[in-house]
Amino acid sequence: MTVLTTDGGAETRRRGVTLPRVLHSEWIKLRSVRALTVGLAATAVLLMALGPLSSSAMAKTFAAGTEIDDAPFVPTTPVGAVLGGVFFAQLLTGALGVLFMSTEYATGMIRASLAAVPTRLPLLWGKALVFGAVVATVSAISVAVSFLGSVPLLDGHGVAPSLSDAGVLRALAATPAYLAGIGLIGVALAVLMRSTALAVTTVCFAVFLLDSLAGLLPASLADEVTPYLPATTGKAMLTVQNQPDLLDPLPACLVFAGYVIASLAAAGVALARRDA
Amino acid sequence: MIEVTELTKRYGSTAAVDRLSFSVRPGIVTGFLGPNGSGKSTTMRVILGLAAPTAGTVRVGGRAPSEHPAPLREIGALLEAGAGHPGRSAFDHLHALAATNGIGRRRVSQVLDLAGLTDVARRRAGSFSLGMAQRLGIAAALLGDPGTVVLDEPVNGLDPEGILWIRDLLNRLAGEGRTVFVSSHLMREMAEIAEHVIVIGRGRLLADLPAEDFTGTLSGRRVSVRTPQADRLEKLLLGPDVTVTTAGRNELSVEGVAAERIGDLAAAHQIPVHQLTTSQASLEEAFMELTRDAVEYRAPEPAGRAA
Ligand SMILES: Nc1ncnc2c1ncn2[C@@H]1O[C@H](COP(=O)(O)OP(=O)(O)OP(=O)(O)O)[C@@H](O)[C@H]1O
Ligand SMILES: [Mg+2]
Repeated sequence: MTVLTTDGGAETRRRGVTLPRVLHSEWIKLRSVRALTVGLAATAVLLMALGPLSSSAMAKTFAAGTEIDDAPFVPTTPVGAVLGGVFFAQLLTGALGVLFMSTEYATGMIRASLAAVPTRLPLLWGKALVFGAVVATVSAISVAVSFLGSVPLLDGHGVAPSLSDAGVLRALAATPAYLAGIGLIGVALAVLMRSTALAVTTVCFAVFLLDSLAGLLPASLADEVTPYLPATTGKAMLTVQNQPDLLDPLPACLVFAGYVIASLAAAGVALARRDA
Repeated sequence: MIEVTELTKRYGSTAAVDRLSFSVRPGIVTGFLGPNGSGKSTTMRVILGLAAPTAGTVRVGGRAPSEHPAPLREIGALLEAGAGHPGRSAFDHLHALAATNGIGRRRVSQVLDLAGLTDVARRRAGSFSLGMAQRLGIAAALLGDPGTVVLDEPVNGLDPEGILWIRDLLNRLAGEGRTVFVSSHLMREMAEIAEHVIVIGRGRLLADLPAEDFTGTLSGRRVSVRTPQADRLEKLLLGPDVTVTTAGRNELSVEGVAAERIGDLAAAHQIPVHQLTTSQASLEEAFMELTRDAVEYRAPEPAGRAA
């Protein structure tokens, strides 16, 4: 008996399912479906293009001497301009996170995947790690490009952000984490709902509509609740100046991480328990 | 070796599998038969650890499904044809599955070759015909060179050449000492492929016996013989529990005597026999007879009969 167990242990190490092997598998899955690679490329293009575009719009406003109002999509701060693409990119990474997982269910691949990894949870962690890492890397590079492209446009008006200014580096660095987090929430929702349409709708709702909906609450209650909504915590993480209606960056970051961890944990429980 | 013990799987109030026990031996092809909805796929999903049993246990090679350190090397399965992302190439599909168990690209190429898919390995799996998708599923089942192979309706949608290919492959796998477990709802198909059959209906075990016995005891009763000396042969065959009817000029339909015995008898009396066949239709009839009370979905009785 003891001998058998020891042998089994050695065998596990030599040729068993391990997290690095699952990561390799998920990397193959991610790079081999065009919808995912094109979607990630589109995310990068959005981030790289909308930053400088917003910056040039801002520069024009300065040149014309007009006041910056807070009309939607028009950035109110230079860093906001650099991160002009984030508003749309989050929709893409959320939807792509859903798609990466939900197609497993839609195509029946989930059965083959789980038969290969019968302990199940490594499949979810593997998917989450690969997707999170890829989104974070792609957005980090894109944000850096956007920053470098935006600075010269804003410089002429003396409003170019500098990495040594308080909060600038933090806001830029939080962006890849936020986008990856939204993607992971998408992965988790896809496990929970097993439906592409339902999970994509839910991500969009959480990101775009939840704070407007909170506006329907009595004003005092809305003021309490709104700062803790996913998109609002994201805004707090990516904003340079502290604003009264937002949490401070660090608490915001923790609350947002809480959403990501809670949704992944719920997905883990569902994946481990349910029949495939 | 697959051991299923007192397996029950309930979906709500209906038992898809009901206290089912059987074992599947290595070295032969074992057929898993039952009408639609009798619980074959459900049983196979439980064997693979994809569905949790309500009660009872399943062991493959002595271990529960989730206890295999490298499951693909232990048990390979085909559950649904084309179960993979339609936009992914056959090679990438297999490579992604293989990678989880530490199986390399060389083996992926090998199984593609084995399944005759080398030429289309880089094509999107979504563009595959039903037969090609089925072959891809079988390639996936063989990735880990497993000791146990479980295939759910592998001949579905295959042309005669494909069926022949599967039959040869399964025999080869069994010949190498592997456990081969194959489901079907067509008796005739199974009679040609399997050496042993397990028959279920409404989730319960109906029969567990060598295929030969199944066809022998249940369907060997009717044999048709064509001979120019029909009268002479008829007299020789007649006896207790034997019915002989003339099915046409020079043709007899015999019930109660096995085909081998008829041939031997004719040879001993130098009666030329031009044709000696165990009626194929009766094989399906026997199967339907066996499973009649256990058929989940039956065509409704003609209107008016019930009233
Ligand atoms: N996920 C599920 N939820 C509810 N009922 C199910 C589920 N899976 C199977 N069943 C039911 O269990 C029974 C057995 O189904 P199963 O698919 O195992 O049959 P089968 O023998 O494979 O049939 P077929 O020959 O048509 O493939 C059926 O009544 C089916 O409706
Ligand atoms: Mg079935």
